[in-house]
Amino acid sequence: MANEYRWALIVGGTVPLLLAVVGVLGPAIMIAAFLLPVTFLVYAHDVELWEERPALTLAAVYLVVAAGASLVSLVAFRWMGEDAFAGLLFANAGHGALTGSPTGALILFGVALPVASEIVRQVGPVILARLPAFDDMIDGFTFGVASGAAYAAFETVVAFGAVFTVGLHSADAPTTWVVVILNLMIVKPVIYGAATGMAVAAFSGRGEGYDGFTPAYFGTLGLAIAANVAYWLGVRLLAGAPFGQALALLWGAVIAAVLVVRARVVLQAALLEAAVEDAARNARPRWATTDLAYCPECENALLPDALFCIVCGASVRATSIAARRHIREPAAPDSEGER
Amino acid sequence: MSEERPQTSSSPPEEEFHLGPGRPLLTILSILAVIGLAGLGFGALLGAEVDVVPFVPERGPDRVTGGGLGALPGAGGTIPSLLADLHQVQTSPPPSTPGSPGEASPIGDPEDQPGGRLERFGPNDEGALVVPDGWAVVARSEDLITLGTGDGVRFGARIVRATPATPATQLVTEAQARIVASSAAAHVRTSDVLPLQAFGSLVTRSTVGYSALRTDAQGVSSVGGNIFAFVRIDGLALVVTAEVTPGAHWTARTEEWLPLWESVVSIFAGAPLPA
Repeated sequence: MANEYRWALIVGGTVPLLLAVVGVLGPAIMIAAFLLPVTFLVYAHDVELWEERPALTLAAVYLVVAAGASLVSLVAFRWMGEDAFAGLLFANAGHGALTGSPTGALILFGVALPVASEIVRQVGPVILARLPAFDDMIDGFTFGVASGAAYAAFETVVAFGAVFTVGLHSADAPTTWVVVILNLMIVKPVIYGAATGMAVAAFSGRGEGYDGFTPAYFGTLGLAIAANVAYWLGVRLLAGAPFGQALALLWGAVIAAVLVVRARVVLQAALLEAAVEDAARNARPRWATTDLAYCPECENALLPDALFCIVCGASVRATSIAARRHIREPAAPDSEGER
Repeated sequence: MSEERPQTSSSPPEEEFHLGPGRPLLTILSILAVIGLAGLGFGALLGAEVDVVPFVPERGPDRVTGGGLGALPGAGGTIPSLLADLHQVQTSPPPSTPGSPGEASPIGDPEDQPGGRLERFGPNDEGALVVPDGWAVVARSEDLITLGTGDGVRFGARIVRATPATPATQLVTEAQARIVASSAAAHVRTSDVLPLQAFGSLVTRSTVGYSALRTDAQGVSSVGGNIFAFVRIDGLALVVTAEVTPGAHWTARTEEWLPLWESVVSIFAGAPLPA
């Protein structure tokens, strides 16, 4: 299964870069913005996240996030802050650089907007995580990731809306657009998704029910907000420097990498909580193995009733329906070949 | 090991939705293709090419150009006296060694000058302009000042050390490479660089028009603007940029930045703009 998604990301990620190189900016921006949210949506269906009700649940998350992201972004980039943002770019374009950047606009786009957007991203997932059906840590984490990735997509469409007003073809500055699209396609959604996911996971917490607005939640939310502010303030301050776009991409990649490491720790804790809870309830999850089967990731044998591979740590729950069916119902030797 | 393979112990779970082997890739790429086509459709529906024509303020017969600062809104009869004061220090004759801080403030209190507020800029306050109502200084650094209206019109002026032999076309070209640099802008369209007739203490001046999509990782801004360069007989140069967002509004909003342009040029040249 993993190969399916790897190829989807590779092919889906290459297309907008090629489109940017030849100057077809509108489709490039759109595909880059939605690559991770769409992949996550399909993955959520595939692994039966959220109590086997992925379509409705994901639609609810995306609708709330789409409304919030569009509203906040329209206010920031169009209705109130269009001139301020243009002024920042004007300053960066040799009319001030760091020392000459408008302070108010810098605070608006480097601090206020990241803070507001992180708070908006929390709303939908936190509401869902209060429902008894979705009060597990894994639910909170994945709601947060979905919210962050979707917010990044809708914010990108609004903030880059001007690319649709200059005609279909522009062969200028392909390098600039490749760097920008890498940022939009990978760095921004990863930062938003990981930061929001960790915070909502802290809201869900472990144990029965959800933890709610505890000091641990506010602490993690503070970290998420700090990561967002660090990212955008860094982008804004680096934008006027030589090779500023590339430096901003590197800066974002560093923050994304740190968040991903933390998010993986949270994800592991969330998966373990779900597995232990299932074991304690003496329930047999539908994704548990039934007999000798093989890990879809590393192809080592899975123990009976395994929820994790003891070799590579892959969660059986995090594999697709198709892979799980393969675990439970292996192909015949003549079609699969000898192992 | 094939004989050790497990037998299915139960029927596959009831699956309301499943993509099947090979389907996630196709599903994801299909959805992305639709999204990309939507982007293509937006571009086809909303796209419009903007002709880039440099704005030359005193070129047309219908322009009010009869006297630089005199064209400032609300200037009344008092602006010429301000201009005369400036002439005494800056251009009569033009300073051979401009920029001494001690000789930079002949006008007294910069507050509440007729026609607006006088603001100086440059390493040694060599430049000055009158800021009309509705404009505010949004940023300044050692050699430049940036002003804005808060609703899409911006104006920047920079003092540059050059020589009297430096052609203004060169300064315009250099400024253009920086202001709509390929590292930060795309879809750049520029006019030809136009040399303009010098006046007052200027030895050369020039302009170029541009439109562009200026971008960074956070967003994109459509802009239209003009860059002007002026070289004075003492070797000091002034580079001015007027810019409007969105770029399609450039022509319609010329009158908003023109008073600033006229004041900064008139003061720098030490003479009213030619009719």
